[in-house]
Amino acid sequence: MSDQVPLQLDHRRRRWRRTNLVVGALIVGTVVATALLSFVWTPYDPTAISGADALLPSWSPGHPMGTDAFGRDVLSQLMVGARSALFVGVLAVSIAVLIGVPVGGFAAARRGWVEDAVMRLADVIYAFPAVLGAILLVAALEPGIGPAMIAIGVAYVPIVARVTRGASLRVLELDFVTAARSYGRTPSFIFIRHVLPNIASVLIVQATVLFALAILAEAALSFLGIGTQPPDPSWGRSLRDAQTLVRIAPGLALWPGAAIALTVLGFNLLGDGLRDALDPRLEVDRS
Amino acid sequence: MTSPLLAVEDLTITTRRGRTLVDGVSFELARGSRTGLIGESGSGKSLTALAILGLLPDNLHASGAITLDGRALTSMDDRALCAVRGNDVSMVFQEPMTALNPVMRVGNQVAEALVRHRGTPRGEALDMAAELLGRVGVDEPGRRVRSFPHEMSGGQRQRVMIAMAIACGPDLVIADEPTTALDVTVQAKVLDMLSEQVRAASTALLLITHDLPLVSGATDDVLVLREGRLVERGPTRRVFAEPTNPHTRTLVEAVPPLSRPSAATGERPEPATRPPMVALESVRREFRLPRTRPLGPRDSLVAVDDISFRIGSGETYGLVGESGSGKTTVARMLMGLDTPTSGRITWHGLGDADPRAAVQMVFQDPMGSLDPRMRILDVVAEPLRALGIQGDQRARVEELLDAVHLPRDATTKYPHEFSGGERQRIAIARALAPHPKVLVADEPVSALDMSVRERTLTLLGELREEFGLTMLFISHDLSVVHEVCDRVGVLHHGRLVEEGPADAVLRTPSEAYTRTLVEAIPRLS
Repeated sequence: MSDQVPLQLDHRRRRWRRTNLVVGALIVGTVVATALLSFVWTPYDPTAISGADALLPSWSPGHPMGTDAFGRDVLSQLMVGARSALFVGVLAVSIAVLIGVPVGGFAAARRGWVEDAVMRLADVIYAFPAVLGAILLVAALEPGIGPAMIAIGVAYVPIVARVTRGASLRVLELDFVTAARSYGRTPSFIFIRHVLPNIASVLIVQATVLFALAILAEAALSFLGIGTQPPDPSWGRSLRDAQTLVRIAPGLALWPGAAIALTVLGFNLLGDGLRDALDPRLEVDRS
Repeated sequence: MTSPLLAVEDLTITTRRGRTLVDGVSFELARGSRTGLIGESGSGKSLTALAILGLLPDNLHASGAITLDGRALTSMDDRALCAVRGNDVSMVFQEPMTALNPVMRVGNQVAEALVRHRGTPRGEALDMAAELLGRVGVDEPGRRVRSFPHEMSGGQRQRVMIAMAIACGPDLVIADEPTTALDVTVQAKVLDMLSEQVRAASTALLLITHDLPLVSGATDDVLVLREGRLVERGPTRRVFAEPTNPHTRTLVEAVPPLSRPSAATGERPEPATRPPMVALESVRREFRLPRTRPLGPRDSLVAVDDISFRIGSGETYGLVGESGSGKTTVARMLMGLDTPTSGRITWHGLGDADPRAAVQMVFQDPMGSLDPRMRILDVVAEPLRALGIQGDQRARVEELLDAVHLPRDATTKYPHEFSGGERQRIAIARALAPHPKVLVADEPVSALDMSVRERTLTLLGELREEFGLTMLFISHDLSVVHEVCDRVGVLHHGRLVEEGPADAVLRTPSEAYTRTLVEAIPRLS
């Protein structure tokens, strides 16, 4: 056999991806740490109203990011807002993964018309705008972050199912699966024991990217007023409140906007970096 | 003496971590010479080729000097090297499907080299491409220039690769395992053609392969690499006839008898008739193909066409045939992974044993047959757990590792920590775990190096004796089948064209197709 040496293994790209991983992890780590810190400490009570301190500009003494129209500290609000951002991410991604992975795996294992039916159904759901679904569900139930995020999670199910199916099909073709089938292992056992561990890296990457999308969706829904409800702070709602004041107090829009952008960027970089770090095809010099 | 075309001096390739992969290799190639570079996987033969082309991966460091026609390739920048590649030196890769661009018509791919390096106008280049394809033996070259790679067979694709390689009339063609991915009958034709083309153009050829008989027919000189060092060199004939280096001797001795020039081994006794283990009666398997257009008719492919044969208890039955002949489908049906469309498979020798335990399989690809995320203990114990076999699993696994000559501490390791040969032995241990009576081995040594292949075959032979196994041995490699099998069946397009004692069938075939196969076996000359 010839020595299996990849011909164009670009080292610069690898190093660049390594940077992605580190920067992404740092940003995500900061957001998580901030959210955790907000449980025990914020500079001020994020909901405390103070008429005297209303609309302080950024970099004011004691209020580094200024205050809003009700005199609430923007930094404290952002810190607590990180909690809802992460909460919605976890909720939506959990729903998407818990439903999408079994569905995708089932489709891959069954093949034939069952697979076609499942995947076409996924296409139909996929074709439906996620945010619109959330609005409908909220209208039917009650405004709040819970129902909205369930709708977002369900909307992401087809994405996870597709990725799971594609990756599973590749693994199911390998001989160790044939071996397992030959001594009578059931399809579900094979999926859990053999397929899942081998596609975990792909799923982790996908989950990270969906996490970023869910945070964006939460911001969008809260901006529309049907996401996180007052008095719980949320980055999206802070943006909405800042809308009318954007000429007098641009900081009110800038800070939460930057928080959203940075967090989404962080998760995307992390996903990109993980994709490379977990990709066994790029493991060189290991044998 | 004229100056050599290519001179490689003290080429050393190391990894970043300081592991030496190629160690001080020096050789020269004369104009128009044909040289074989042989060695097993990991011996550094492909890396040497890549170094000549300046295509080494970034994470490897090369030192030494490579001069082509008096120009130092090692000191050239990427741009200058690009002009050399394809124009002065070109390469033929092992796998034509991946080496060709799947979305580009083959004519354009061949013409590309001419346009790029020669500045030939595109229209003219396309005409030349058609002519080149004709020269390398592509059927209907005028029509084929408009084909895409997937529309061609493996052999035809490899011919296209060779047409690309010789398009610009290079001084040197490097062919890295150019025929390994092809069927035997095609292999010989493609290699002859390559050999003829380079000779006609007095181009030098560097043929890289692990297959000694292949080298012996196509080259004048040979270089033997082992673990990055050049251990022997000389005229091919001399090296193979009287190897001086012990490693070369091992390689030469590993060549199976059928690939040797004279039938040195004596007649084998007729295999004894034994009570049947399994009988196949008029077995047929059709696959329904997907529709080519919506609502169109669904064609079916007959993979196995009315096959009947029996395997005796304790016998090793060889099933040979080229790719697509239905060998693997037969194996899958015996394993119960697939059912015949019609016909019957009857097990006679299993008694009341569970067939899922009593019939076990060994696969071709030692990479794909072990779950990369499982430890060896779990891999080998899996059939025991799946079949609910009682007893001390760890003890059984260790016993099996002993049987396949692997250390017991292998249990805690993962598959990627083992070489291909070791992984194949792990796969064999797993197959033996549930005390099988029958082993179905589908190309068990095809992915292995010559010497490893030999050791694996010996091991299989030992285990067969020790455990009284019946074996179905599937292979495209006739010399291997001849070596290990008692009886053999020859498959062609899903039909069993010939059957009988291995020695008789493979030495004095009575069917035309079997004769073609046997004649295509590369032999040491």
